[in-house]
Amino acid sequence: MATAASARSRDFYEMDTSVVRTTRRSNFPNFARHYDAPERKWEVEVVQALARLVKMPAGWDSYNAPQIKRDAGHFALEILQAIMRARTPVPQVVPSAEGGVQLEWHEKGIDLELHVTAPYQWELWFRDLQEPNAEPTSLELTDDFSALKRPISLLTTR
Amino acid sequence: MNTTPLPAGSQAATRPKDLPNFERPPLNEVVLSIQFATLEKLKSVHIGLLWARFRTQYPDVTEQATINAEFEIFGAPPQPGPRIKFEQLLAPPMPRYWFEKSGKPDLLQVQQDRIIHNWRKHEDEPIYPRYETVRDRFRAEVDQFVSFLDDEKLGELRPNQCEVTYTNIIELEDSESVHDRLPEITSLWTSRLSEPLIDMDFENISIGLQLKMLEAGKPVGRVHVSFQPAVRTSDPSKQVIKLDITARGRPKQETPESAFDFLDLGRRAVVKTFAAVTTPSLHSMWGRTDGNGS
Amino acid sequence: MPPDVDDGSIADDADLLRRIHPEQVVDDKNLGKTRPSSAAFKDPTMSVDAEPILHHYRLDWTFSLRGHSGYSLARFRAGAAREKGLAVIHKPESNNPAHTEVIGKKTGSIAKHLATVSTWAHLESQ
Repeated sequence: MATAASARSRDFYEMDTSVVRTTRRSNFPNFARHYDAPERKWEVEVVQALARLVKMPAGWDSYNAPQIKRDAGHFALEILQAIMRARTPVPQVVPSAEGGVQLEWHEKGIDLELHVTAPYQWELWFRDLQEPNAEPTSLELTDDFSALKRPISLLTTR
Repeated sequence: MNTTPLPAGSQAATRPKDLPNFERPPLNEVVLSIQFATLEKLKSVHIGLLWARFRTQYPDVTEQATINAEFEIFGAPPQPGPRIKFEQLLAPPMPRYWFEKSGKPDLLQVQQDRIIHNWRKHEDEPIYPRYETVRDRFRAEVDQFVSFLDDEKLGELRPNQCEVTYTNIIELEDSESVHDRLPEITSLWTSRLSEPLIDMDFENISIGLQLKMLEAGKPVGRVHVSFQPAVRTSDPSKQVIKLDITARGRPKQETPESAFDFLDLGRRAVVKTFAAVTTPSLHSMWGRTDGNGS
Repeated sequence: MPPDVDDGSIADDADLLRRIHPEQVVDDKNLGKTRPSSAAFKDPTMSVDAEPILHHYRLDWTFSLRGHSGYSLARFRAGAAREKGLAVIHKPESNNPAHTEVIGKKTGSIAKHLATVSTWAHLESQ
């Protein structure tokens, strides 16, 4: 469960003589990780790619591209951590000329691109090539990830 | 106590009249946090200059590990298991700095992408001064921080996530095993099992829930609630319940003004949730005065 | 500084050359080939070299890669940019007479279009 726990002055609880300490939680975290959590090998690959991209200096594209923003990389990873399933193909991780990060899949007849420029500022472009008459989907997104359900489902199950 | 004054022309916050009100809430800590776009130009070398603006109020400075950025998202199921943060593969960022005065309840925390104000229950201020007072203190500090960033040309403060956390310590008299009395604390737990558990006894019970904050039916943030058992280090035989309630979400605009609007919204959500997940009998004990308690 | 007005001096059928960083070369299994990512075409004031002008100065595509080893070079028609509402404006520089800018906001669709119609003038081995 996400909390502000790290922000709180836990040391205050330790140092104060009237302090409280939390007893150990017994919710079997190891059991949950091995039994229920999806494979996360993709995570290592993507994290390494992001770390590589944010280290590139300004002008990396030989023109005027700014450095890839750490925040954009971080949010790109958040997106993937929310949507990736065990058999979802690993995306290609590409730096953009605007200093953002683009996650791309071009396989199984699916064309999916997620361009992240900052936290909560990203764009989705999606086309299912097996529906040639369907128009591509192009959306500017913030905190609602529901538009990704169908493309990711197709990528994972096709 | 010395506090950073509010900027000229700004108004102190006032308590909304429709909120549950308690004369003696079991509050132990309140945290107001604003996360913002990373200020890449803000380095450790600048912290001394920033601290100079708060030195009278906070003469003590310490370094801490950074807190990871958090984002509330919707439309995707929560993923279990630990998650890698790619910052782990980068050069260590600027640490998080604590500005405080030994023995005093207020703490100001600053890192490259977050500014946080903590109020902690302390013998110097055992009575909670109320959200409005803590908020005003924090607002003055944020305004000072913005002014510092502008003067030193370190970038613009662009908040992208805000967080309000209330930590409560709930104690019951004559309680060696708080689990037996959990139904007196929260209606979320009834202790009623479908079948008896022979030769087994409850050892620990933790309750966690998440609620979506809605505005016109659309999610604008999330409230995280956690009941956890705890013990006093001064008296380990005495069990208590730690109730953490955090409201977190994105401000409507990436401005300090909008960030404080969300903090106000988050505070409402936290207080209403607190009243909803605790029992009327405890409300009486805590001196509920808004007419909705028993 | 010349104004940002597309005077048509770069013809629609003129080829434009854009350098592509190695990290922007993607594998498109649907098309069965490697191509530039649309991310390479997102700069609102996107610099390119106009190939006819290079030829006028007895240069060729290798000029665009001079001093940029490791980069690939994508080629697309000026008309492909204009059909998406972008301006193609010749802006010569002291060390590059062929320098041109493709100006305008490049949405995902527009950048995708440019990436898809591009061919390789030079593809660096990956």
